[in-house]
Amino acid sequence: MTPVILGVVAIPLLVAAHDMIRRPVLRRQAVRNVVRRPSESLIMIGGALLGTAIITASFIIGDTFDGSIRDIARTNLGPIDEVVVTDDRSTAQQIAADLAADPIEGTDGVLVAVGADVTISTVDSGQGVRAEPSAAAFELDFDSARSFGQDPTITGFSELGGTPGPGQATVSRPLATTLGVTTGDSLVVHAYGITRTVEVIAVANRLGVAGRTTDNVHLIPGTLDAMWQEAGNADLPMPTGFVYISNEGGVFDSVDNSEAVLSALSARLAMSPGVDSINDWKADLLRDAEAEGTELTTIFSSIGSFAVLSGILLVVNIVVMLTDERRSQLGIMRALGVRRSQVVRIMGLEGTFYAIASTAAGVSLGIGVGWIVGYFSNTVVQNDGLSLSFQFETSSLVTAGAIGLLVTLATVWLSSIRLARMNVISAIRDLPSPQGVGRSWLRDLAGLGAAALGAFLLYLGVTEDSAMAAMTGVPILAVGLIPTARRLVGWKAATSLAGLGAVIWGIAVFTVLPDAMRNPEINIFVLQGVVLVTGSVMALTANEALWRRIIDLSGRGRAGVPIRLGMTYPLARPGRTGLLVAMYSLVLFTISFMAIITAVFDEQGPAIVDQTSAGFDIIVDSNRTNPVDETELNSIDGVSATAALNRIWLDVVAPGSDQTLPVTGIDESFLTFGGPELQSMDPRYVDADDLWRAVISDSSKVVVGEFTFGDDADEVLSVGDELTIFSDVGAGRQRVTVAAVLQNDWMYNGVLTGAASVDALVDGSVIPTRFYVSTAAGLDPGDFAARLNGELLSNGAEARSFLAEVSEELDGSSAFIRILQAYLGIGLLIGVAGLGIVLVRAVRERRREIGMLRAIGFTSTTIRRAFLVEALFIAGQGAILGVGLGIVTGWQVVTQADAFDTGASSLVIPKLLMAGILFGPIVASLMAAALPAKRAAEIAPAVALRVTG
Amino acid sequence: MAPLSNSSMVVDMTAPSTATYQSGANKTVKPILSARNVRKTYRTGDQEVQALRGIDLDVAPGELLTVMGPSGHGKTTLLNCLSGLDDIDEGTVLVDDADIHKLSDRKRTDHRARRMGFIFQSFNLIPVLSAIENVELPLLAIGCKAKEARQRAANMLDQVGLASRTSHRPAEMSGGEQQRVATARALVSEPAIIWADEPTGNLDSVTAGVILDLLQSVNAAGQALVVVTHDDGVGHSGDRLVRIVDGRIDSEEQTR
Repeated sequence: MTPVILGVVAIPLLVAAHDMIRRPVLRRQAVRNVVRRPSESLIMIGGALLGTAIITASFIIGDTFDGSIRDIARTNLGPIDEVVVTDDRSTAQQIAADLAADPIEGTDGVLVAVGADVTISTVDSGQGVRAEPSAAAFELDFDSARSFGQDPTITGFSELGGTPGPGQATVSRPLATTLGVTTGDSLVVHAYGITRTVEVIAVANRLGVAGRTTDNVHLIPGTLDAMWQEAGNADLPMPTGFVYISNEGGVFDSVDNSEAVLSALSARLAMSPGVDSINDWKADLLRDAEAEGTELTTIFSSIGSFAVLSGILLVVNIVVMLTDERRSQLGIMRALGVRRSQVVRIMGLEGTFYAIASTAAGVSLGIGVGWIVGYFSNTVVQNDGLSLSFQFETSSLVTAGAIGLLVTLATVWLSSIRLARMNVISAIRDLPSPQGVGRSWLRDLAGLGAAALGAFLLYLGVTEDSAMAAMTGVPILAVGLIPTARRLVGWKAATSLAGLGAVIWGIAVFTVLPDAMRNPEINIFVLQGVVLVTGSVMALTANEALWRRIIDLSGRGRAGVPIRLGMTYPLARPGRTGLLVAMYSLVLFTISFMAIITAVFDEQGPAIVDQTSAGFDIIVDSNRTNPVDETELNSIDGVSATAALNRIWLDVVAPGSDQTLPVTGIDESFLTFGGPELQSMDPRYVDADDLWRAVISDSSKVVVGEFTFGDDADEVLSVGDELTIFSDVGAGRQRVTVAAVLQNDWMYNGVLTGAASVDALVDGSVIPTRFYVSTAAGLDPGDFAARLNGELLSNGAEARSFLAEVSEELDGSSAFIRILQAYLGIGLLIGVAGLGIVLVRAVRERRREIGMLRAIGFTSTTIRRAFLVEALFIAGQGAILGVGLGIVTGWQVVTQADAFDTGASSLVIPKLLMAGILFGPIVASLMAAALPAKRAAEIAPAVALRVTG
Repeated sequence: MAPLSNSSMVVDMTAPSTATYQSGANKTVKPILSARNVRKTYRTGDQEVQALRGIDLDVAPGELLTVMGPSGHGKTTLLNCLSGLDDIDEGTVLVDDADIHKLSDRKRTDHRARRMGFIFQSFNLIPVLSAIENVELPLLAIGCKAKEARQRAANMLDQVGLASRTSHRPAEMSGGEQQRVATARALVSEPAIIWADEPTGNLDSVTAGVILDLLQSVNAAGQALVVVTHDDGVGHSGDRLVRIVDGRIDSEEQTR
């Protein structure tokens, strides 16, 4: 995309360069315009740079996420490209030996490791124990690890010394920090119900093979097998074997070979016994990083596009004001023989100076904005284990700068072309331009063309379920019909109807075309904002007479004069006012809409808990290698009931999707309190209890969440859908039918079926690793969960109350939305700045008029108030429009449409926040208007009116 | 109400008078405005321009005083300083016995609103307001009720012959029409003094004649009128002509 943009940008730049060098007259005129009024030049640059800054920041945020996720390849994998996961150590060793003897082309190393999920705690020395329940223990030969691949420095073992001896361990730095231990301290490793105390001999940096999981210890090989054997429980899984394969190349470029190596590995090992999976972890990670980075860039640039649009409107506004002011001067030049094209090129050359300066400044500012957003995003994503490091690509800066430059240049050139079409006489005399004659047929034709395009888009929206076409079809159709309709009903009615039509469609499209609008991308909401705001501003502008009636009613007597003056000016310049109102409404629409969606989600916490907890209070996930014993759990004082869930990961195929998902076995204990809430169920069952019992006893029936497959499946899952569950052992495969759909699957149990069915799938007894716990009356689930974590420490248990689990997730989403809202706030700043700039220039424009008003007896207070009323009128319209549309759309989307799976049936309006969103910008606008209003009030009448005499 | 015309009005010279002053009409009345030793200097950087160098001037009620002089010699400055639009460096300007330059800005502004009207060469109408909205502004400034202000503005536009143009904006009117609106605006609050700065300067001779007739009829109605002009015809159409040269009164002559 960048070369195309650069190519387009190059055209006006080359024209400007040519004029700069070869046309001294044009150059002198353009340069004079720039330097004559430096404050105006700065305003122009300031207005234009904001859009570029937003675009740059969006790219930088994407780069930061992309780079930070990619960095996991360095910190957690290093030379590891592909991994063969085996059931045990011996299988891994055999495979590694085979691969060493007959290497796959494009690889340069093989390494064997053994690992298990463990709990690591400090030694109880009477001052409490610190523990990490979700840690990993690995065993490998450090010398082999160092020579794995071609570069020891990326393995993480280059500075670690020899393999730990008996009773020794190395510990990863994040885990050492969590537990507060260092070299020489002791740790306790809990696995399979057995414990081992080890001494820390080194703390390993999070790098390469040594950093494979964030919290890990490395032990002497054989320790885990010994602990497993000591446990004597054959149902527990043996320590997992890993065969790490390194491709030729460095950390990142080695993935170029991954596809071929993975294919060769699969061909060689797919049918081998004991092989659990063959993976291209690094390529997968980098794909995810790229997808995540692109998605974040899209989100922030889409959200930022409101600010960019505001920036464009601001630039248009400033250019329109500049050209209006120079109209008379340029009219005289035209009268003296300067050609129309030369007028355009003078303005274009001047605009090029502004565009270049604003692009340079905008990119610099964008880097700062990107850093700030990255900083706050980091606080949100750290909960998900990701650490963001600020970074950006040069190409991103070039692309963002090119887009910013293009936007400014296009605005300046188009405005210049419009200006150059002036009527020379009316320009010199500063009279309104006469209406074009003989162009109405052209307007009608263009309108009909637009109407046809709108109709076609609507057709696509209906037949192809295209959200973008559906959203834009009707508004374009309505606007296209204005030139024709005005002949029948008049301009005002035609424009009002088209505007209102666009607004109604923008809100109702989610209900009218639910299929097209089912899973809208974020850019659809950008379009929706544009449609709603444009329609509203059109309708408002066309009905300026209504405002005049209001002025007549409200602006009575002396006190009403500021109101009359303050409202009359903006009403007399509907184009300029419309742009300003649109700037405000666009941004405030999105901020208020997001606030409502966030509030709806936040309010859903208790409801989601009711839907998903099956009546229990606490969810306990335990370590696979050291599972919680249900009997032991039931014996803990305060536990009133438990349900065990046998949760394993298997390959599940649905129409259009094939994913590895949790398959969770349940028994009747799960139904102690009636089971989780169902959204829909097979009508052949009498009630939910009848259905759940059938699912438990019938291996062909399952219950799933609507979005268990995310966006991958052709359709969301519904009752009657058929799935296939694959297993490497046991029954091998099982075709199942969806008997019911959960209201939601917040706890991600995936496919719910009977415990016996899961056992049959894997040909064994699956040990429960998840428990739902009900607490005795009077106990606080949050406090009790903390107590369970202490008592079940050795099992690596993680107990959370359902409410805490749901709230934490919701808080994360809300925090991210708040970052987006803050990002949008930049657009609001542009709006406020734009209004301030317009008013500063208005003071200059109206200097003589202000002088006259002062002369005939209006006080400086009246003048100041008139400017404040003007700011209030514009910002107030924008704020009311934006917030109003945001609320209406929020209501529509929450209660009428199924685009959001909010589970909510009523609108939640965060009143205090919405009041802040409504009044904050108005107050900010009044503050921005205070200075120009003061300046206006200070104008001395004689100075303003002075003519020689 | 019939349009104002020069011939239909009778000069009311029975206006209150407690002091002695020889007006242009040889009546002894108290001056409505009395300026003494008015000096005004403009400073721009290191440069100083003495615009007014000790002006003594009285204006009688109902007098039509014209001010002429070369460009740049202080005519407009005199108008601005005597009307209180601009500050002075020295001297006094008494209007209704009050020294307007010793009043606060608010009181001076209020005084202007109630006692003075202004007509400018470039009309200075508010472009976004209609004719009637422009005319009613001075009434709104003195606190007149909106309905009454609208009614009086309509009457005044009727008097200047623009009854059919009340809802037009300045850009939709000719120069003569705009100046008539400006005149209506100056008259609508029935001020004691009207200041006119080159009121016919931007108009052709026929339109200028119409405006001049209008001003004379105003004066004939008893309002004092001070007209700054380059036009010899306008200069000699008043009661008294004052010539300003180099910031001083060079000569005074009774023209009627």
